[in-house]
Amino acid sequence: MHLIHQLKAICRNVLQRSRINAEDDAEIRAYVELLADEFVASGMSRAEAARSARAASGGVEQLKQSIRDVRAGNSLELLWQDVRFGVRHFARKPVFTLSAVISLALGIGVTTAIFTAVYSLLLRPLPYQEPDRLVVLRTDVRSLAPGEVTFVAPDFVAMQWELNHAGLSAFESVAGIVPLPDANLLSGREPQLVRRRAVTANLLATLGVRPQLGRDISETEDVPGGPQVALISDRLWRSQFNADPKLIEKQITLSGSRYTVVGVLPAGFLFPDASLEPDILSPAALFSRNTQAEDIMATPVKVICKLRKGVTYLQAQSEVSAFLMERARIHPYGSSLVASSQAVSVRPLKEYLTGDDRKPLLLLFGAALCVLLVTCANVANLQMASAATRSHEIAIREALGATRSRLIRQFFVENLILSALSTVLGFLLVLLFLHMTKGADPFASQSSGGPFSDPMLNSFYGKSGGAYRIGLPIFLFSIALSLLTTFLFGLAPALRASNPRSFVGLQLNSGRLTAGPSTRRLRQMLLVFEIAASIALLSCSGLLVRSFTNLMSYATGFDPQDTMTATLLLQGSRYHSAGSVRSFSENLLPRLQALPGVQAAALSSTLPLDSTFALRFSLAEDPNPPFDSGHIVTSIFASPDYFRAVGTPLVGGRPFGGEDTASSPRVLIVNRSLARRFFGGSALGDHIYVRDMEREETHFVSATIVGVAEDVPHDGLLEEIKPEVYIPLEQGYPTELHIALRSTGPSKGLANGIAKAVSATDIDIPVSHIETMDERLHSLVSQRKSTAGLMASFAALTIVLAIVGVFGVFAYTVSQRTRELGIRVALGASRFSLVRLIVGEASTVIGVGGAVGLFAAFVSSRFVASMLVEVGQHDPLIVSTAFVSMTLVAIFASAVPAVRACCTDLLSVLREE
Amino acid sequence: MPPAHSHLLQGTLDLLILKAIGDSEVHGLGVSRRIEQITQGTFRVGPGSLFPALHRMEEAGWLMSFWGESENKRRAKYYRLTKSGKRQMGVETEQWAVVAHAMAAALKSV
Repeated sequence: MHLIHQLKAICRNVLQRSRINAEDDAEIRAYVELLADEFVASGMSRAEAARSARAASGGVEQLKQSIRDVRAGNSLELLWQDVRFGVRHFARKPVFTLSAVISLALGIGVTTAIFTAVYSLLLRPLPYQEPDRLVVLRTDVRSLAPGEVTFVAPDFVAMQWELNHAGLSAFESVAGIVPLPDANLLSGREPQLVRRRAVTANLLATLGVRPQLGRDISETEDVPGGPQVALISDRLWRSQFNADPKLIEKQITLSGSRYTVVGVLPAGFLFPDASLEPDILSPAALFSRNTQAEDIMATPVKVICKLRKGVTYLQAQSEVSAFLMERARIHPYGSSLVASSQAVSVRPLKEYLTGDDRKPLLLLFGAALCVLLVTCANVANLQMASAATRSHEIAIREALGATRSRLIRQFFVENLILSALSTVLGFLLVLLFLHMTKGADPFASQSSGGPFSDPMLNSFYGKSGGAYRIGLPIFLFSIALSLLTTFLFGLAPALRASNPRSFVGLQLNSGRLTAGPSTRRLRQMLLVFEIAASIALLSCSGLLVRSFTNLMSYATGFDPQDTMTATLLLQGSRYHSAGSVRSFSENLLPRLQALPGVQAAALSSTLPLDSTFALRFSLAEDPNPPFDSGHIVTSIFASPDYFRAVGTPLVGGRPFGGEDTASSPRVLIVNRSLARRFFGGSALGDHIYVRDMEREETHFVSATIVGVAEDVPHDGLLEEIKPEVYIPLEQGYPTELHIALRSTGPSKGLANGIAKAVSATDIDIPVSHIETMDERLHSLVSQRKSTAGLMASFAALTIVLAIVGVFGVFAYTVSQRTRELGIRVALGASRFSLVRLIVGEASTVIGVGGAVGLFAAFVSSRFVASMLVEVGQHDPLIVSTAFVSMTLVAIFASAVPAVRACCTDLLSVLREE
Repeated sequence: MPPAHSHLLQGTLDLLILKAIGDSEVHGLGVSRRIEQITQGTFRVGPGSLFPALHRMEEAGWLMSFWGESENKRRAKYYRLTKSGKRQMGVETEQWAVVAHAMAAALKSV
């Protein structure tokens, strides 16, 4: 009741201000007249009564003000006054306002932009039901795939059996994912290479996801020899099947096998794997309930579990460890039922999905906050300088009766206006930034590009990046940021300016000397902070940039310029023999060679930087060499022109030629590492035994080494280079082929030619991943590149802000000290000594800033330590360069106003007073 | 002046105004004169306290104002109690009685 009255009163007071004002006026005048009437009645003359009544009432305006003060909504009205006053104030000082707004907008924009990535990657819940209870089991499977999130199938099956028989109490369900090779999809709009995964029937249910169309894989289909069924992704459904709802229960052809589509996954479904997003899911068929566990192959399985309510990760971990320990006791390592190792940990699914992106993102967020703080420090400095020049105005307002709280509020309102403007501008910057980075849905299937590894995966938005948008959380964050900055840059100046001693501002000449010691100390502290932050950011970004150039220097042994590449998969009934693969390449290569501008065309099983596979070999004749590092070698099948096409120099011997056919003697080219490791340098003419790919059974034949090639990085840039052999394509049987074309001039235009040449050779073989070697290289390093690039730009921004800060503070100091400097000149000081005086003072501050900065650089380099390549965390050269250059630049910035002031006629300034 | 004291005074003023208006319709000066009369001249409320109080109480919904004509034919703003104003007077009278009783007891005990 009371509240409603109040609200009504506020509305009335705000909306009908002038009417209420007139009423108050009339009421008080009536009061005065009634009082005068009383005086007349007691015998005064009319004129005297009117005068006494006015005197007794104490003034109409004062009474009206006293009414306004208690009126509801009075504070709103005052706020409105403050806002109008603030706007007028800023309009009078456009340069100050503009520079403050732009630098704050940069700070807020940068921080919010990075926050959108932080939010979408680290804060937003995963799009599953109760994602907090979803975990992955991270094991260290001996010899299988160290560091991977994998179980071996027998352990997984045993775990599921245990769960179904109430042996495990921590888990609600246990689901698995099994890798499947890529396949050519032939039933859609056009042939396409698709990624596949096999999953257990309960995977979607464990995640709490339902197909948008059709049904899930059923338990009866998830058995060995069960029906071939498939769930397809929303992307594939739309791009290849026109979102046809009648696709359900129809058959599609995948590399020659027919699968029945049972359902379509929902749009925006996130597959629980850190690095890939398959388009086809089919049953894992790991075990049938009737057969013995001995039948199960030791396939690697990714295990995703849902914990029971209230179970902690540690509880789950100890339970699954105990279970594996028991398995290892019954089935020791090496038996047909491999036991996964005991080293198992239960990790949140979220951490697994975002793991690699976390660190650089948090680093960038920290750097962005640093930029924002420096911006605040700078604006606070500007504010304090302007507050000093406003001391006169403030003193007058105080003398007229403004209270201290009213003055502080006035300052805060002004700052709020400033940060509101900056937030709007900063938000526009964020929109621009997102528009530029958004690109496209990273997993959108393009018929030409295919769904292979894509650069956006490495960007900061992680797997789910395509789906994020600016939502309420981002908006709230930037509002909060804006309030925080208001507080940070506004508090100190407001308190200073409304110092109770500010009446000194009225005394005309005060303030022409120097600012009070406390103001100066505060401003110097802000400068120290700015310089320190710049040095820390500069040295961190220096380390990252240096690491990046070091990383790029690993890309040797091939020439990424003017090389076009593509990938294709020879699958299906037509390619069941080595001869068919051979005739495919014999038909394709001349077509590629004939494309305009092509110098060399080649086919190979692997390209530089790509993943490789290894085969067994032996130096002496051995029908069954052991599986150890001395007998396993990375094997690459390559057509004659391969080395010319990728630009790998041969350090000895000859390349493959037309004479190296399936029926000719076996030949090999080895890399330099192999020659060094097994033959002590020159391996030409030596022999090694490699597997004969023509035969079904394992058989090793002797091959002559005819050439030695330069080492080339494979499996990424930083992997150690292993011994490798190149085998003529004609003498092998690879089914995944890569095209490499070296062209004269830009190779971009070759994409169409490649697609046409392949479809002319076999209309059913899709080409994917058509891109230049340069693009492959850059997509591999894109995250490091953008981290280093962003850090460098943040550092640059901070340095500019710090320079502006140093310049501003000393320009102000000099202008405040003109009189003092004039006196010094009058007393005979040389101009040079004046500059030295001011720069000397500046150097003290800058020196302290530099020392703090060195310390900050030392501490903050811990955050980049894990991202460094061939450069120490405390690299003395980089840290000292950051320190020296920043200090010099800062001293220079302080010297400019000093020199400028000393060049003016200081004596005449003195005379004018 | 300690806050507790000023609070007491403000409460007193509100109750006095409510009491002074009572069941009648009174203008500002009238309220001031009536308070003087019913407190036998102890409290003289000047316009500087009277008007803010009247407007505050009106916004709180205890008073209602309207323009009327005084005995000597002057247009003036009149006040009367609303229902919630009467209720408020009951509440404040009660509270005041409790406080007065307690204070009297406290002072007597020493």
